[in-house]
Amino acid sequence: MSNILYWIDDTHDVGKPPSLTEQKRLEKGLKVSLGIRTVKDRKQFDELLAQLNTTNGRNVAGVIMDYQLTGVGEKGLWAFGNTWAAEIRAVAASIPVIGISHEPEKKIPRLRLESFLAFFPRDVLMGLRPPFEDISALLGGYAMAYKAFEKQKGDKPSGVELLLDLVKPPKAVSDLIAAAIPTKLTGHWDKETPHMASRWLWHDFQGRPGFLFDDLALATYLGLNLHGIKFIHRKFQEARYAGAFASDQRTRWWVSSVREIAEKLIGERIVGPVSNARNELLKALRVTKSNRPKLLARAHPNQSLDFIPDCVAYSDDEVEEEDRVQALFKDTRVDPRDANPPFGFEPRRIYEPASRS
Amino acid sequence: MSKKTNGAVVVKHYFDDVRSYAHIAKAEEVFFKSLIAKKNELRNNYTIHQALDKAAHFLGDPIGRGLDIMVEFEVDDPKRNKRQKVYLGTLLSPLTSKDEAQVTHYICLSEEANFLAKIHLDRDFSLNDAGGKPTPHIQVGGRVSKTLAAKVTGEPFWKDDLAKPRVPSMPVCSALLWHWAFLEYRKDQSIVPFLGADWWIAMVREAEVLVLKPFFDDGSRLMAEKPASGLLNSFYVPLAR
Repeated sequence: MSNILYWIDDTHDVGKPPSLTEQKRLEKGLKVSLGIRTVKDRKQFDELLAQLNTTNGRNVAGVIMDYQLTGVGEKGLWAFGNTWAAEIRAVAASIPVIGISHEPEKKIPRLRLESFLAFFPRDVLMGLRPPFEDISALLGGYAMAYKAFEKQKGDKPSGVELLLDLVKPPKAVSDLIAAAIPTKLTGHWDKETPHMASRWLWHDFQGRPGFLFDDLALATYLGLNLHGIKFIHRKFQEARYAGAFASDQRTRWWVSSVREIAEKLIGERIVGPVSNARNELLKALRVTKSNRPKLLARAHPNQSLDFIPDCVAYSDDEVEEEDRVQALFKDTRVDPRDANPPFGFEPRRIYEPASRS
Repeated sequence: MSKKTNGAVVVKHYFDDVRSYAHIAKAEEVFFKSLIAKKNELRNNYTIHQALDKAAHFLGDPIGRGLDIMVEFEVDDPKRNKRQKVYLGTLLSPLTSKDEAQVTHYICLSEEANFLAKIHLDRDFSLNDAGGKPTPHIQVGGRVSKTLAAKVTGEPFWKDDLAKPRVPSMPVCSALLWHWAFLEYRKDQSIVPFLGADWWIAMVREAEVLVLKPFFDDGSRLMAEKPASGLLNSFYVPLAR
């Protein structure tokens, strides 16, 4: 029997939970059985909690939880999925809870989002191409983090050792990662720590620039554009992040491993930014001279090949992930959200040439 | 990519390690990795924490990423009976398509946000400097980095484009620069914990082996093999072979 993934929704808007087609799509893509629970009142949620408590969350892959549950709270008021998520963890900490809403993530208070392992817009999950790899990576990664917690006896292995075992870093950076792990995750883990550790792994470790590149950052580091990176990424497989929460839809690459691979491909040491050797790299990969220009990174916004972009930045203050560009560091400023980034991580940047500031 | 930086320098010069950006970056990498492992013991000095934040980024790719860090200590000037601030800075800028690589370490003294003194130690990588520049060299004054200008707001009293004199010197790295300053201010409360710690001494020893040993080995070799070249002369380009 496949594991159950619960989908908890209200009955406010008929048809809001997945239709039969959407349910089948999700079940096939995620290899789970989708247990849709449309709750009319708090009592029904309490019954589900009692059931999870009895079974201790066995055979439950996770929960997809609506953020705003209309008319099901005390005295018919709203209930919030983030508080219910905390209640689920209290009875069965092995169950990860993923939030969804029709509200954009930006409009939801950040503290509330922290109760969910991750958050997705409802229409993305119910669309024709749900992010199966990401959801599977989240559910699988959380299961690994929870197993790590169960492995700990007293303070051994330490939280640092558990996390290093989860991410499996290249030796060159394991000390640095150990130093970057937040203090509350370094020692003894309690039942809530897998949730906290999982959030750190997904949102910070993989979500922020620092130890890992995403595709655009890798392309920029190599002096290429996204088309260029697709063209050569197979050669860099050794640098690909394959630890807990690795997702094919959210590929990450070890910063510390890329230079060595590029040098091996070119056949000589590169001093200075690897992007300076982009033509040699493409030549080594037998890209014809005429094909090379269309694979090269160009600095936003004038797209000239005279300067090689040396950072990734949001194109404007809206800081939308999909609106990031390859830019010259001197034409960017620190995103105010990252004025004081955690140790080991870099501030995200916003495109703003000096003439505009 | 420049030919001379790709291992394509065929002729072996004396002091090649001193003039290798990769070698300098390695010494900084080793030091900052060790220091980061001790970061909890350094929590009393927030400027070290800020420096380690930047160093962590540098460590992701020590050959490709620059480093601009500065740490600050409060010390006594026993002669003048005054409190001063000592700033120890490291600026590493790798070769880019536009610029030569640059490495500078500096020590600056200030009193009430005014400059008292500043010297820097430069490494230069040009193999054919017609101007006759020794490398490494010590020089008084020099450019004030943005990081330093944010702390010492008074006007520099020196000409920052003064070219000479440059005094040939032994090479330093951050570990050696800090230790040099620590030895000068060994009695200050902010310094004592370093000089008394085994881990600090181990880091300095490691830096000495990485940076100073090849330098002195090459120096003795040159004096034995090419006495006519002259040790001091050999610090100037064109280089002794």
